[in-house]
Amino acid sequence: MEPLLSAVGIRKVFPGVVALDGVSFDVRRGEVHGLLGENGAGKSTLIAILYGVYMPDGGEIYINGRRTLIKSPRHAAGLGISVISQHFALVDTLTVEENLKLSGIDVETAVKIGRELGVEIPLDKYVGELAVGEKQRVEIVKALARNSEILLMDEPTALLSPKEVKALLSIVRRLAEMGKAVVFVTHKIREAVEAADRITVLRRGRRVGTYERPFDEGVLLEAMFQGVVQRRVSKSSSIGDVIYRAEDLSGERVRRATVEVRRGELVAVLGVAGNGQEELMALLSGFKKPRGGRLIINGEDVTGRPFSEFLRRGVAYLPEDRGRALAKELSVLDNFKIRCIQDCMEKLAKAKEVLDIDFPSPFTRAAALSGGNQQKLLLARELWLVKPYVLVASYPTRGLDVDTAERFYALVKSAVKGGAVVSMEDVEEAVERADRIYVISRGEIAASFTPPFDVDEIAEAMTT
Amino acid sequence: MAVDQVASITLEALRSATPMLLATLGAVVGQRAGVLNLGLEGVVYLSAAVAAAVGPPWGFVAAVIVGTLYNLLYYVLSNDFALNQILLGFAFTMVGYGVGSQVARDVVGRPIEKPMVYGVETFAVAVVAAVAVYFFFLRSRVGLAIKASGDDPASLDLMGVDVYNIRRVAGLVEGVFASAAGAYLVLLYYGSWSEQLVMGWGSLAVITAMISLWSPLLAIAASLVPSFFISLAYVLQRLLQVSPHLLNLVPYVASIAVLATVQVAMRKTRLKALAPRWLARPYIREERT
Repeated sequence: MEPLLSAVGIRKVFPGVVALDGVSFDVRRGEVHGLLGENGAGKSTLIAILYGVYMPDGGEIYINGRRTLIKSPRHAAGLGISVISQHFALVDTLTVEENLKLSGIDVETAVKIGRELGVEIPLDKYVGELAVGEKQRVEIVKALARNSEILLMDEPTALLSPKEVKALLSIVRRLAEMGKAVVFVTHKIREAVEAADRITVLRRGRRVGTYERPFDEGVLLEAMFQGVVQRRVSKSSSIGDVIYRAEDLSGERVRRATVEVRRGELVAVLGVAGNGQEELMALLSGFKKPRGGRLIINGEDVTGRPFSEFLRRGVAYLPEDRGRALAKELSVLDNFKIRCIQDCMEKLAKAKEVLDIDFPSPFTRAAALSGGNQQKLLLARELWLVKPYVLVASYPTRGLDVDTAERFYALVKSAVKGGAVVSMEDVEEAVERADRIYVISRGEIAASFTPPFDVDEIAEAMTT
Repeated sequence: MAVDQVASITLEALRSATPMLLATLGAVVGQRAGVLNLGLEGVVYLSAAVAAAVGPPWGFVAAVIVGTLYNLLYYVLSNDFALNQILLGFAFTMVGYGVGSQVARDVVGRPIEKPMVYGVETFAVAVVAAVAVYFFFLRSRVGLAIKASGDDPASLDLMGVDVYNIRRVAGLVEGVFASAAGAYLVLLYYGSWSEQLVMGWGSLAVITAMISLWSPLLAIAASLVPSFFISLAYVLQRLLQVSPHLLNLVPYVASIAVLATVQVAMRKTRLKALAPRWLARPYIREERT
């Protein structure tokens, strides 16, 4: 069968970085084509090119066998291409109905399509109030209402709870049955295997290969990393006294949260997106002043002290938005120097090697790095260089591939002297890594767990 | 203070509220689209000068055309060319002053024949315009797109709506309102032209748009704030032995005080959500962030 969309030899260069180097890819009607690769492999760039956000520097795109130059997202939409990305094309401050109208979609049609797909459309709600999964379903319905034939899904499961992921995967299969061509981007092998009919693996801007059913997970993993990475389950053996304690901590969303970290512990805060975990992390790090409650480091009350004092006491904070912790317009080196005092060039070179950060020169703008490499740079600065006493990290592994996530946990083990609080989205990741798990729901700590963990029990605490 | 004085201040306030409301509505539309047009002062000034130079009735039309084009130029430079909005604002104000005072050089001090308007009825018309803008935001697709352009232009772009075009539309609407305000000031309110006469009105409108929390309906009330103090300054001039220059400061000081109060109140409450999140930021698509 002739592919509905095919891209041949696509090349895209960002200042100092080759994001895509001669990548070919195609997708047919009624097929889910998985696009698999670690961070910085070029998946998102390829999607952005197919949707007209970026213009390719080389290569050709064919739709229905006709060579096409996709000039803008608007043009792509006109060609029957829709994108479901981590960045929803929904405006938070408008209602769902207003958003539909703005997109030029007939509201009744959308509701009807939703019903066919088994999805409810909450018309009167503001998009800002919706859970991520709901927003995504609205996006899918929008795409169908526009008679899109090609759906590009860019890491659609990244922000979903386990239950929502399941629902999404079945919707994706349903889309293929309806005769749509679906491109499913992910860095999780299991999801790709479950959802896709074919899988193409990218690595560092190049296509490694395209695989047909039945898939061999080992082969895919090897293709992604060119060397098998084992997930090591390594828990701390010696857990000591409480070094950091938050009592009845309250903020705008967070209500009376009590969290404890013992020496040598990695504590996970789990929750479905939008339940106040970002604020909890900001409060725990001392970056945001609490409205109530107390923060105690090593037995000393530090509530309401300036953030600089928290830093001085060895607290490191990684906010969920990397952009806030990096000055994007400055060079990699300058960003590093914010915490580095001497021999910075040498230390940066060392960090580059140890953490495998990919940047062409220390003078490259931080903004030119891929998301994964920005995160690594941040880790190099805040963990590897500073060696903090307490680490407070908001979704440090979000969007990271297995390999980089592995490095992160190894780094926490070697560089953090006291203990760490890390917010996560993935139950399995938490169970694998954490010594203690807190579940946050609607701003409150709903439950806490210590090993041995029961995944189902935790997943249930997250969703009730 | 006697009853008739209170009445005269109120009446006076309503009269000067018409141009203030018009300019404020313009600023509301522009700021909702994400553009902080500090050059609005220049637009109001230039259009007032054109209106004075041409004279009634065609001065009104000429002022709206010139003012709107000038305003659009600001939008093209600040969005399509992504220039710094603050600097651009100052430049547009200064150029507006310079060109405006040249254009209307010959009519300084010459009285312009005012049509018989009382002021209250024109304010009623402006209120109708405010309600129209309210429904424009609420119902029309372009209105929704303007709101979206100020809150989340990246999503709007992803929807396939041209952000630059939407902002130009906002600039057009803003330009029409602001230059209508400028023309009104000369042709219907003051009935004469001098270089200092219409200074400050555009700047006040930028502030009142913020005071009104970017709502066209609240703008009706907010536009009365500076107008009330402008009128108060006039009345007080007759009563007090204070330098008129000091009294002329009153509307600005009062507006800034009200703005500060509103903004502080906003920060503490849920009203924060009303502010356009992308205010004063150009949208640039092909940027790796």
